[in-house]
Amino acid sequence: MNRCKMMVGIVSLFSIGLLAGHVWGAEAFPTKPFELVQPFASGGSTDVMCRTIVARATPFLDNQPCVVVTKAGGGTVIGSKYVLDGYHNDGYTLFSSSTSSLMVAPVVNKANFSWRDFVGINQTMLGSDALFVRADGPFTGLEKFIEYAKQNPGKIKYSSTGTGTSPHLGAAGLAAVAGISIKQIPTKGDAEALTALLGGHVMAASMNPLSALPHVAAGRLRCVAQYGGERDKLVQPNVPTCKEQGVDVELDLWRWIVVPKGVPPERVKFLRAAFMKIFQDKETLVALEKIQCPASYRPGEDYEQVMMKSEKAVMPLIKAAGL
Amino acid sequence: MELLANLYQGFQICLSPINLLYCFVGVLLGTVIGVLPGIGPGATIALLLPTTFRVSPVAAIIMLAGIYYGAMYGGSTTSILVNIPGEAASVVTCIDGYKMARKGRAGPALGIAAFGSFIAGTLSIVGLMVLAVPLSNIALKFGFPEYFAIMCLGLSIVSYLGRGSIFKSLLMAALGVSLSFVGMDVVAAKPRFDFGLLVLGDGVGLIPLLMGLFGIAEVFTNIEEKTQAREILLTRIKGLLPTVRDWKDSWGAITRGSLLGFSLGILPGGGAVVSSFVSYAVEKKISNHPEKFGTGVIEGVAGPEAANNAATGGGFIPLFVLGIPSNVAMALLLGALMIHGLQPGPLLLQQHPDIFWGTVGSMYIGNAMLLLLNLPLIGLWVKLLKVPYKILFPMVLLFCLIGAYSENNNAFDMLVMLFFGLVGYLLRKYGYELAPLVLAFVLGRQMEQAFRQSLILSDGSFWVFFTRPISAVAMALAAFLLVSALIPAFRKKREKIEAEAG
Repeated sequence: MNRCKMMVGIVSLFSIGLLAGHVWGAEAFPTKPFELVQPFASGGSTDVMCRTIVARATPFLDNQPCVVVTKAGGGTVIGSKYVLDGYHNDGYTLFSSSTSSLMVAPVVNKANFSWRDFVGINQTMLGSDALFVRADGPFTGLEKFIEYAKQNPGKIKYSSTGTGTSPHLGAAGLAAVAGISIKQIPTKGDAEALTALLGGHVMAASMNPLSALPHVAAGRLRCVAQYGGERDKLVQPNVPTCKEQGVDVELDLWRWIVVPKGVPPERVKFLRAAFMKIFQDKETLVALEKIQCPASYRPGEDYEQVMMKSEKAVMPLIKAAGL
Repeated sequence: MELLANLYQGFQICLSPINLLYCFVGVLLGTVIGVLPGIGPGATIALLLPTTFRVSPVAAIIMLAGIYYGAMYGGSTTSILVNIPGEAASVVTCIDGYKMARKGRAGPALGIAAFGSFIAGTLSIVGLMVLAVPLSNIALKFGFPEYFAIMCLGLSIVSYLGRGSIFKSLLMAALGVSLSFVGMDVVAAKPRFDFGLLVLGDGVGLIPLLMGLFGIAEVFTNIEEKTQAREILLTRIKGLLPTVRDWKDSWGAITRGSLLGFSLGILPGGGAVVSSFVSYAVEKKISNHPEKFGTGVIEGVAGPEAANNAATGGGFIPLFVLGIPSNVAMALLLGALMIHGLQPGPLLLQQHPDIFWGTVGSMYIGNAMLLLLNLPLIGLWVKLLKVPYKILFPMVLLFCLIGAYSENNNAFDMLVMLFFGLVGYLLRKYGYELAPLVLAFVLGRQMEQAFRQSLILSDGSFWVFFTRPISAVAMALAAFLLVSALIPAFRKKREKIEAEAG
């Protein structure tokens, strides 16, 4: 009988120990792998960037690996909603956000969230979309392009990577500010927009420079302007911005790693410190340059400031694009 | 001569033991995922992309490419044996392939699919090697109106797919086009027909639709039929390889399928799927026994299987020469090139000839490996017919569920698949063909987009489709096909009515 009681006692003690262990375990962070959610199709530039970042991240995350999880669809909203669903605010789920997913998509899809529902870990990239024309055509610069458009309203058709995508906003903003009428032909993405220009079916293409640049190098295409506030120093350092050419359009493409609001502050702190170190890792930076990703680190503390500035710049463009 | 020197260099690269190993792993995996319904090359390449980080770029591309064309080999197997397409490009193979298997001729069907794939695959690599640069420039000539016209031509082929009533086929095509409209409208950026469901924002997925209509519906149908038909079929399996007669019947189909597949593969947007349908229609149109199509004729297997393999070779042309991916699998390969610091585009061939020629070389080797891998397997596959339904179908169900989920990691896609399983079961029960629905679904969305893009381009004038030479020819051909298919249908009906009246 006594023995039995003792057993019960030991078992209870063990259980308390286990329970306590569990509570302490919850405070230890991290104890399991991280996931970095990205909302675009696999193999795209965001996916490739995320995979490059996590490839060497493990040692900086207390030896926990970080895996890239694709949650594509719904114009990035499916990915954002997945992260915001209330089950993913333990700090283990990170989201690779961008101008499209935090600024444009919530408006276009009438989704009830904004950048304010997230907390910034760090900025990963700062780039710019741009306007491309044929190298054998008459447009040697933005000025010539605008001049022609003023003389021939509605005649310039340009391919974009889809209505409501950032290249569309850039071109629509450019048209609104410069007071010209150009027509958008939306396509399914970079490949189709590029093909239309290469084949001479449209007079310009508004798109991300990544897939167009090799054709610039081959002498088939020319870039007349980039929409960003400053020149993209990695990708096209020699192409002037709209602002430099006298048209007041500024559309920066940033990418930020964010977590949903509600992640405990000490975990946010851990992640910010970890990703700062990841972005100081030489090999990671070289790898990012190799995939032509204009990496640009900013600390999580700058999140609100960057977002407010971006919101101010993007909202008028969304209006100009008629969305 | 330069060509031979390049090819020699390519073989040198791909014959190194490590690259040979990656090639073998690629084609083996490709065959397996091709056989498994629902799990497609796209999802597999996405999954394996990170594993190629540490290997040389050429080995990575060799393996990933192997998965892609290997899947085209394997896709026919499930079509022929269990009437469930392993890949979207093997939908038409079900029509005659499964009927052949029911007649006890599963071996020759599998054999001709493997040989046809090998011949077409090899021809398309030769094409890729010799014609890559000139053809990529021709592909650029295709603007929005040309795409619309080509897709019209593709859709008119629906009238050759069905066995039964042409009106039922057209009805299914209309349903397919309607389903393709679900989701975000690219032109206006407004969601349509999505019932307010975010998950339908990108439309109904092809894989869930396909696996539902074919895989799940097949399971349902067989539960109803109980298992008797199956046992009878097992008693007589005639020969494992195609006979001389089979070869005579199919060599024309294989040649035509190769040409068709290769040319359509160069154009973006589901080249492999569309070319298999087109090949089937062409074979039926020129055959002197078109009425036998759908009852298990070998041309109906040889043509489409050759076409979908040739399309893979064609698909590499825009990727390597222009850096423009023609389908999801190619987009992933493009991503793989970028991860390895190679910029896909017009300079890739000049700056990294080793990648292109190494891959071309590996495709020759890979195709030979696939043939050697698949021929001995035929005996094994045919034995699969002996697996009792109560074991086979739960497995099919499981793989379909995994396949539907794995594409986007989205549980809703499994519900979509089950829904279409029910739809497919009912449609089949009432004698509606599913192949026209699939073709129309694949083409519908792209066709609508090309239509609206063309009209923006022409400032609203419809003449744009008839004043440009390529699109005018395609439109005329489409009209001719549709009319020539409809007239006999009308005539037969009238004769029947007259006969009944008389």
